[in-house]
Amino acid sequence: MDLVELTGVRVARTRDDLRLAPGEAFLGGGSWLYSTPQPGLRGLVDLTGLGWAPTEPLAAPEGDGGLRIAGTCTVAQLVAAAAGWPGADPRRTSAAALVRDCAEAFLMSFKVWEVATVGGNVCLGLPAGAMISLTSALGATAELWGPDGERRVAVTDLVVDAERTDRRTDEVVRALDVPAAALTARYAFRKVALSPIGRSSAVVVGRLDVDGPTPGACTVVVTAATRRPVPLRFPALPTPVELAAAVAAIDCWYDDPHGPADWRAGVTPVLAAEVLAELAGGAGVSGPGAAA
Amino acid sequence: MIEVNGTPVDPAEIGTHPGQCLRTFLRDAGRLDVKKGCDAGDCGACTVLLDGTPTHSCLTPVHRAEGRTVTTVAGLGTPEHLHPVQRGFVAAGGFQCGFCTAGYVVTAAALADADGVVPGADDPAREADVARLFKGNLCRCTGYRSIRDALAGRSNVAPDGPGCAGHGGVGRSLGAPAGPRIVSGCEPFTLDLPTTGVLHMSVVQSTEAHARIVSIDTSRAEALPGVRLVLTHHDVPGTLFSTGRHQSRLDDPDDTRMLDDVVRYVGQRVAAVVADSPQTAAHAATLVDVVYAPLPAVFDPEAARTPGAPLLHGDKGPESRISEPARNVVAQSHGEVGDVDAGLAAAVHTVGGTWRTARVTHAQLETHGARAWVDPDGTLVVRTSTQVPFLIRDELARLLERDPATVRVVAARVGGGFGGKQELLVEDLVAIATLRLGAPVQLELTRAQQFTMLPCRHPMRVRVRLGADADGVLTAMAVDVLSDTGAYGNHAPGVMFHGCHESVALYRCANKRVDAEAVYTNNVPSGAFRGYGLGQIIFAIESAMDELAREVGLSATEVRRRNVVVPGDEFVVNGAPDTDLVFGSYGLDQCLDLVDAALADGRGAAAVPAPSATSDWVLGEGVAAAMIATIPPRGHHSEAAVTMAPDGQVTIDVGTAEFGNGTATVHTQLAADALGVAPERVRLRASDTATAGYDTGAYGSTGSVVAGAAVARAAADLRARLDAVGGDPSVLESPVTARASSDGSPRSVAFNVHAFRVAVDRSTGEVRILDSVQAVDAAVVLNPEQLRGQVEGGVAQAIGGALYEELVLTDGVLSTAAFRDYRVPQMADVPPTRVLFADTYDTLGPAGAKSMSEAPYNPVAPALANAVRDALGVRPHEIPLSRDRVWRLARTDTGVGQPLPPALAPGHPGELPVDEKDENHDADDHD
Ligand SMILES: Cc1cc2nc3c(=O)[nH]c(=O)nc-3n(C[C@H](O)[C@H](O)[C@H](O)COP(=O)(O)OP(=O)(O)OC[C@H]3O[C@@H](n4cnc5c(N)ncnc54)[C@H](O)[C@@H]3O)c2cc1C
Ligand code: FES
Ligand code: FES
Repeated sequence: MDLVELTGVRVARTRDDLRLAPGEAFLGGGSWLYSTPQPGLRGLVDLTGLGWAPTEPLAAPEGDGGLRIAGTCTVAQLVAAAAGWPGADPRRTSAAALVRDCAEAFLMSFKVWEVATVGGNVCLGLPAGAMISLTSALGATAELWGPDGERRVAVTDLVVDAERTDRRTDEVVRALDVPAAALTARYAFRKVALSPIGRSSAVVVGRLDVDGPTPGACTVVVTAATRRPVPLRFPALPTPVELAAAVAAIDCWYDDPHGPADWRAGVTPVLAAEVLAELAGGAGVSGPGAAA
Repeated sequence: MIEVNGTPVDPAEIGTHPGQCLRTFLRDAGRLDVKKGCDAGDCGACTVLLDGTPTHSCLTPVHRAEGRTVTTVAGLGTPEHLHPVQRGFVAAGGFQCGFCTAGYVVTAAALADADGVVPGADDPAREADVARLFKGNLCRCTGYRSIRDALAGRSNVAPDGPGCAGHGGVGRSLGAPAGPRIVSGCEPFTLDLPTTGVLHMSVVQSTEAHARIVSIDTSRAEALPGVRLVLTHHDVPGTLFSTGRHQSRLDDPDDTRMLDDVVRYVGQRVAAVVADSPQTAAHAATLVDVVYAPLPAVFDPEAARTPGAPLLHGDKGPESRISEPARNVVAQSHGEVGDVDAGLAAAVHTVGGTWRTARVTHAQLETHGARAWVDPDGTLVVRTSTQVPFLIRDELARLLERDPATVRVVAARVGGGFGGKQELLVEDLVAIATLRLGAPVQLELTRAQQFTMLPCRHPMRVRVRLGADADGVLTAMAVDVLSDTGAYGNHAPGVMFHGCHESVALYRCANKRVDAEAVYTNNVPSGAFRGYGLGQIIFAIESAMDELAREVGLSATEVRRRNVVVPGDEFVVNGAPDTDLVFGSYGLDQCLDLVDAALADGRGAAAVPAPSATSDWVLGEGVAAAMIATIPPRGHHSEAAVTMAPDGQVTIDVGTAEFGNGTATVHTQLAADALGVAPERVRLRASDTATAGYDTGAYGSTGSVVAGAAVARAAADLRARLDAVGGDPSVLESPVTARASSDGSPRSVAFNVHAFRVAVDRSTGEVRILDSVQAVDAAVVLNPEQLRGQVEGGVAQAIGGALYEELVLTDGVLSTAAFRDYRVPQMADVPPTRVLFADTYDTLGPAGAKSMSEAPYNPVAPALANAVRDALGVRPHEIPLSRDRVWRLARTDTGVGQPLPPALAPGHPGELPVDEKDENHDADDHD
């Protein structure tokens, strides 16, 4: 829709252009900004003019084998990049499928994938933020550029509550950095919504590390059902009882028109149990029918 | 420069706003084929190709289109040279109102092969993939089957052209005459007109649920350059009226002012700003400062009629025709035939319960909008998205104190109605502004305003108690209805009386009692909605009948066979029987047999999801029946004229509006048949008070049976006159016109029986529809494909209301004011429905036909709830049967899964209060 209070749009070309004037905000894909009235918004600074590569290998040494996803990388660009991973390195097959599953978990269609960015999704901090589900499971770290410097925060710490992040308005999400071990881990994905392929009410991603510093370690990340991403970490595959206990201890169930808290708390253990069964079964690749 | 459909367009020349999106820019540039369903990225109606990639133009900042190419639906093909995808939509009949069509065609064009077929669309194994591709496109009318056919290259409409001459085509699946124009984006809808010289209006809405307006400061808004006028309650007539429109204006209470100094719900119109551009108007609307003095508010209808409750219209006198303003009761009906207590005492079986329906909205893809201007001769012209142009004209004339002859109301093709456009909601403001300013003024509501400002479907609480003898024959039927009409009483009496009518009259029972009240609350108003109250009450009664069948040990169809009315019976509710309702034909027996046979074939049962460690699927079947009068009571009139020119061209002038209900096609067929000409020779001029004779309007499913009857009669009369001169129009010296009218009385009844087979996952509450069948008695089928489409569309909309849709209000504040939060069914949500036709001939309807456009909605929710009951062993009492509710139901009895964490268990809004729980388990035997 037309953003009627806007008086100008600047296209950022350099880092200096990222200093915001009062009333300005950053423009990623615009798929949320232009979808609802923006009272008080006077200006936008378009980040796409910065020309960041959508995805690139993480710089060595500490990032060796990892992946840098630009804040401006669109969902479509990430899906396309991931589609190429299994061919280049079969160990990345499961991570590639996870990218696809997360993209499909959005309410938005492939048409909106073309514009919506990973950075924009993380910045919104919506519980149904599928790129939050993804980057949380990948153990990604956000690189934030502020007027006074840079800082790095894990995505699971950046998103602090429903529609609230730890980002200051004048900070840009430059990139989401994914460590190498995340790309070779095995994943299982489950989602439930109030309609067959609707906006997510609960998303559970299970991860079993294969290489890296903690092979055999397991992380189960709950999103959409909770006000913020909840990573449940285990040194090895938990037993069903251990996992159920960890899920039962979650204290931030979300309540909105996409599902009341009691139901979300009730179905999340079901999804978690399925995820665990799949990881334990060794099939390892989340299938297309996974998004029940 | 932006290249649009091959032509360079200079944004500087058109003029852009800094925050403008591509959609409004394209429309400013004259590309009126780009539609708006939501302006929020959710519906896909605005899809264009941006450098070949399908894009929601409402989400695209216009600066990002610089230097790129844009293709709109009109850039793909023209009516003469259709793009293969466009041909596919015509051949499949892949639209009803056609407002969503541009978005589908453009999206599909980006995906389709050279034949216009979307890869995979013709492969049943890939249906889910196709639904995923089109999750960004919403259609409210079709139920998606015909769209799937279009994407797959399947053809449904009868081929036209020569060879059809002399066979006008009643009984043939003639395509909509506007088809080629719709699929190529050149059929103009309400606001598809150039905007040069037009001023734009934006509405300020109340933020309070109940308050007196202390002051309105318009100075900041007026200071914004480009603002021409701000209207508040100081500037408009104080005349009371009702937004609900009927043949008799006395049907609805006069309780509404154009702009009032008291607001009664959050979202109510408070002021209107007119400016040079829509952006300025919308911006200025945010600068109107309103000071409110809050008043106590009431949101629960039971509380609202309890002594001491805040009164919404306590200040109104008898001239407003409110039943009991001092009790917030706008309408009531209390009556008994026979002796219900005695009937219950004599019963062997009694069942009962209390059922609730949620608030749902029409979600027509075209939002309400109107443009007004004054013609050189002084006529006030209002072009508006309405189902009732003549009723709007008459009420506008009354409000503005003008002679109706100086008011002209025109409806172009309407982008979906479903009852929501049987109201006067925007026309008054544009009319008064244009009279004030002397320039054309346009108001186009936003999608959020559709949700927060406009009437929705009446939520109801319905208590039913049935008694039956040992054979399951009813001995008593008691129904108690509480209808929440929200802040205003538009349609409150009509919906309440009609809702209790055919639902109760369907059953033969000597002892009946109905108590019904419609009550004001400080919620968004309720209004006319497809089914007009029947769906809510049928949900309760058909659930109770299902329970009775279980108690007695009969099948769902057998308990109905033993109790439904048959020819010879009277139609009785809680008083004297109807006098103008008759069995023009009777096909209910066939409908019951048809669904029995369909369910017996076991379709879908094999598709039960495989059990897994965690999922827990159970199967169920459910049936429900519905009856509806083919025409609303108390008068419905239409005058039609049919003209034959010497060259054989036929013109129909009729006042009814086409909004996807298919009347344009049916009228063409009826006239072509009577006159023995090919349908291609027939032109329709509709819904213009200046050119057509009077028509009450397109509501109550009357477009075919009232207006259609008038058309058929006029055409038959014309035929007789032609026959008198030898039958060949070429001997005519000038065009000959015949006129006829139809008065909508006596009225017939139509029937719908729906059956579902479902699987329910007790671990998540998911309800999966394995088979869906609807048998309909529409008597003679004038256009099989169109009728099937009406049924499928009604079923899809009802599945939405039964499983997904809900306007969530908390203290009057809506939290579901966008399509992303209000779940209109998307393609993936709607299973195929088998549509079966009973074979009857109606003695009253045109060519033996009955109406069938509201009716298919009504039996769906109870059939689904009965199927869920069958699967779970626990009866649902509330729709939507959202997954959370079904999950909770599964927990109440069977103990599947973990018990609820104590902190979450009690007092959730979905849980019934304890006393009603008891009431909902009172199926008790007396033997
Ligand atoms: C049909 C539809 C369906 C949708 N479904 C979902 C869904 O299922 N789940 C969901 O979470 N969202 C959904 N959305 C909302 C939204 O489109 C997505 O969250 C999307 O990922 C946002 O990204 P964007 O680049 O378009 O953000 P923008 O609209 O550009 O920006 C969003 C916010 O983030 C800020 N921002 C953007 N990029 C950056 C950056 N790099 N650094 C700092 N700040 C930045 C902006 O200032 C703004 O506040 C949907 C939207 C539509 C239209
Ligand atoms: S109008 Fe653009 S998606 Fe609905
Ligand atoms: S035909 Fe799709 S919305 Fe009307």
